[in-house]
Amino acid sequence: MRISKYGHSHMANDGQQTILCGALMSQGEIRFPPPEFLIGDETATPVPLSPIGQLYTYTTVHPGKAPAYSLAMVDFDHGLRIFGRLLLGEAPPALGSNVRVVPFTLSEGEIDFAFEPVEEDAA
Amino acid sequence: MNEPLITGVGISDFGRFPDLTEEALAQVAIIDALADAGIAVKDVQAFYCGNALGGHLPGQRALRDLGTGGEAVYNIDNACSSGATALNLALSALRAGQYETVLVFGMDHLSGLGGGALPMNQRDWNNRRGMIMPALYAMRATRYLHDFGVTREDLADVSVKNRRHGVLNPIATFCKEMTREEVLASRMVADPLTLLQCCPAVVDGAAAVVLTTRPSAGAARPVRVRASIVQSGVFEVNQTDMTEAEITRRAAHLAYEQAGVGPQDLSMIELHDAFTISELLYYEALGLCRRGEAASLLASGATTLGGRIPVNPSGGLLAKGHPPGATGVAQVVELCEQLQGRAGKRQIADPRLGLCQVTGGGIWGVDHAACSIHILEAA
Repeated sequence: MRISKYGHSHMANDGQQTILCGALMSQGEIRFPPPEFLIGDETATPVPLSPIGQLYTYTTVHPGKAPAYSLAMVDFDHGLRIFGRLLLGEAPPALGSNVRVVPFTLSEGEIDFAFEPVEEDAA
Repeated sequence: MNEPLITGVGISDFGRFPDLTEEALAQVAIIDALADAGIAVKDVQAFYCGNALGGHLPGQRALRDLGTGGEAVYNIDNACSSGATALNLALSALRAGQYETVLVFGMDHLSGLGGGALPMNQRDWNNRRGMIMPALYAMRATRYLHDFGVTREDLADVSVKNRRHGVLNPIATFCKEMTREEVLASRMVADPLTLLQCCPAVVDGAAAVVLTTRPSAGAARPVRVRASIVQSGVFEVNQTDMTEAEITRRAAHLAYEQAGVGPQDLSMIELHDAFTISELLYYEALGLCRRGEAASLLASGATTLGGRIPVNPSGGLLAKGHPPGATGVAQVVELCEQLQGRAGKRQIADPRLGLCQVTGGGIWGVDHAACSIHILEAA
């Protein structure tokens, strides 16, 4: 049996900002999230993605007693669409608008990522 | 070898029964189906059980008290497609000559799970980050409203229609007729979907059908299965169109091809309206209308009882609720009762061909993990 851990994080910091990292598979496909394991002769190398993506769709979930939270599908380079938390301000964002990747802590304490709308004059 | 036919159907009430168990509900449906088929449990050579949330050996637990002779029990978990997948496997065994008479049943007892959206695997990439089924469909709705100029009122009208159907269905025990305004004013679950646009989260129920290649001893006219399709989701991490229900479109194409019919030949449809947006997406995926025209089709009245192609005459999941293991079989029960002319106040005039569609979701990277479509006609 030949199985190994991929071993690279799906996130990085390029010195200025948080970015997501896809995985270039040996077949030439770029995947996000990266595979957890590599089977047989499969190889994969990290590929940094743009810090900015375009909002494809989103929703705000209202769980009842727990605080509301927002989720989004965001389009990135290499044709990838990535799911994650969306940190919303007052105004609802327009579909197609820019969002950036920011650090976010999951409920179990794991450091992860979320998306945050980009002010148009700062984009 | 004779063609396998559905010769008996049974269904429990769908509702909140915290004092009952999934086994008891399944037994109600099984006993009903056996009586309807005019056979005894000992006549059944194999049992196919669809169940998503009941744990190990649901079929054997349900059958234990019914006096079976130790025949094969196949337990099938394919999420919300469990019951329909069980039917697909049962048909394959009958057509292969492995058995002559089988019983397909499905059940789930959500009262025992504590409420809320259906539980999903928390090791899944999306689910760990807060995904729940209402959120997935809300995001599809957000994009659909954006792309096609459809309104929140259009979405709400799906719920209004299906609840209007559901109040005619005696097994939909807590369905109430609601206005568009009441649907829109109900609590927001995942924007733009309000509570009354989501199928009730805590509903228990079971359904069963008998299939046989032997001469029917049943009370009603047998029903033929013209198409039986199960498909799985294609892994995609790229920028697909979330307003298109790809797996349902693919399964429908295969089902129409297998049956040698098209959507124009159908008399009725039972589809997986877990959320209002789902019904609109599936109108298009099943070929009832072109892309972006689903709300117009609904508004025309074509999919209402009395219309050209009634959709969810049972009330669907929005009115009945959605015990996942039972849903696929319950859809088949509804189509059979309609084709046999015993659907009571919701009877469709002279139905000849019916289609039922159910999906199964909850893992990242696929439109849906499973989809099953059946096309039935009176034999």
